[in-house]
Amino acid sequence: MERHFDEELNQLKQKLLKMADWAQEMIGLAVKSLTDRDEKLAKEVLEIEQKVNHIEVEIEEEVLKLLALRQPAARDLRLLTAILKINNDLERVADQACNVAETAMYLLKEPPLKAKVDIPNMARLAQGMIRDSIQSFVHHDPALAHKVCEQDDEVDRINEQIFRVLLTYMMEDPKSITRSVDFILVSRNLERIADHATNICEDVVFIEEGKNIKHHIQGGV
Amino acid sequence: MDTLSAKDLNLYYGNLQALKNVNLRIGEKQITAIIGPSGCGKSTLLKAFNRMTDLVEDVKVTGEVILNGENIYRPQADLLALRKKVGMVFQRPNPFPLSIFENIVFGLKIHGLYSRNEEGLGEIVKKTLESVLLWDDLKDGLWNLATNLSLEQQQKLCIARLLVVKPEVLLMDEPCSALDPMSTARIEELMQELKRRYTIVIVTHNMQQAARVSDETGYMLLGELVEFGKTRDIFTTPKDRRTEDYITGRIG
Repeated sequence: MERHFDEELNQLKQKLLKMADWAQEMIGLAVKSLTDRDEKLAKEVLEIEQKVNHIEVEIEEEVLKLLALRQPAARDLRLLTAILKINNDLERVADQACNVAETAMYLLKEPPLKAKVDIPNMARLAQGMIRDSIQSFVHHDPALAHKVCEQDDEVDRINEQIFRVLLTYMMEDPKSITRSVDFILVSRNLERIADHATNICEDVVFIEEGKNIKHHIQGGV
Repeated sequence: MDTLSAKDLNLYYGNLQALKNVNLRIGEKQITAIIGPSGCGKSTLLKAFNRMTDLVEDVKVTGEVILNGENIYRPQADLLALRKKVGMVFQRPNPFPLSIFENIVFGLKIHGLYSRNEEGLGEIVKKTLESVLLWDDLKDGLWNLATNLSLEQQQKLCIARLLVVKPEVLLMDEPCSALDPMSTARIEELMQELKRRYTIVIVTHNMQQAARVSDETGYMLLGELVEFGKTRDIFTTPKDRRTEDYITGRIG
């Protein structure tokens, strides 16, 4: 039986997808503003963030309304509580992208750093993880969600590697310390984005399978 | 230990099979809710627990209902003793058209527990009305007609009428469906009080009520017990698709 409630849930999901699109776009633009040294792109990131903040509040209000009025149970209940958390994760992803954009604007005023760090590759991975986490949510695909969780290790590894490279570089050239620290922070921002993708995937597994896989806790709720 | 359990229980009304191989264990001193769409057999299951189904013509039962280790369907079972141990509360409160006092002592009389000591009887009535949270409201009108009470008070009185003969299990068939939300809330509060001393099985159409009051929930469909488990699991992560569809309002 198709319920009126299903239509309300669908509209809510559409909003979450729009928010996810914006968050992904922000990551891409922020990293490009850093690598291309393009202030315009960084400012665009900050503009999109306004929209993300706005829709975050809308989604939160909508979830509260549905919890109160529909008194959902079982899958509906898991879906709504998960949407509330995914909403929060995406808002934090947008914040991290803003941090990258702001760092990019600062670095524009400084000479380019010569150290070779693989920020673009890391950004691609993190962005892909967000994309796949949302895909697993849309297509009810817990297998994909599990796969995304595994990719988090690769992002952590790159973050660690970037830190080591820049640490060595700073020791050799103290004039580069400020800029190097900024790149370490950008790397940290991207690593956090990947963490949020992992959180989203854990929520997808919870919706689909009713299992809580956070912190490797086995079994049900 | 389980006070009450059903083992391979089948029940037929003529050719219609109303219960299909039901197996479950009702946890002692907790509230068990049975939910399911109309005609699923939940009320039949409840009635089978104290053989109220015997009152229907052409009923056949196979399997066992075990109360304190004994099958209540064994040939030599004492029905009066059974219904004293396993009392039932119905959808519409059904007090006798007698005074409040007489309603309560009625059970004592028919079970031969009546003491001639009037003073002692007064004490029993007081205690019993206290245990269903009615004493303060009714103490000054114990000889008034019970049928003049509010529905909520009548329902509590019907529960009191069971308690006086010291039952072990209380069966409740939609006990709040004739009551307004505030009365419902107070009956639910009373159930929480009562479960300290009694094992309660409630049949309800109201899923939020099952979720609010019960410790364990069973979902029935077409005479079958589809799923049985802790209420928190049934309402958050049911295992059977049919349970899921029912409690999310997709069927039923």
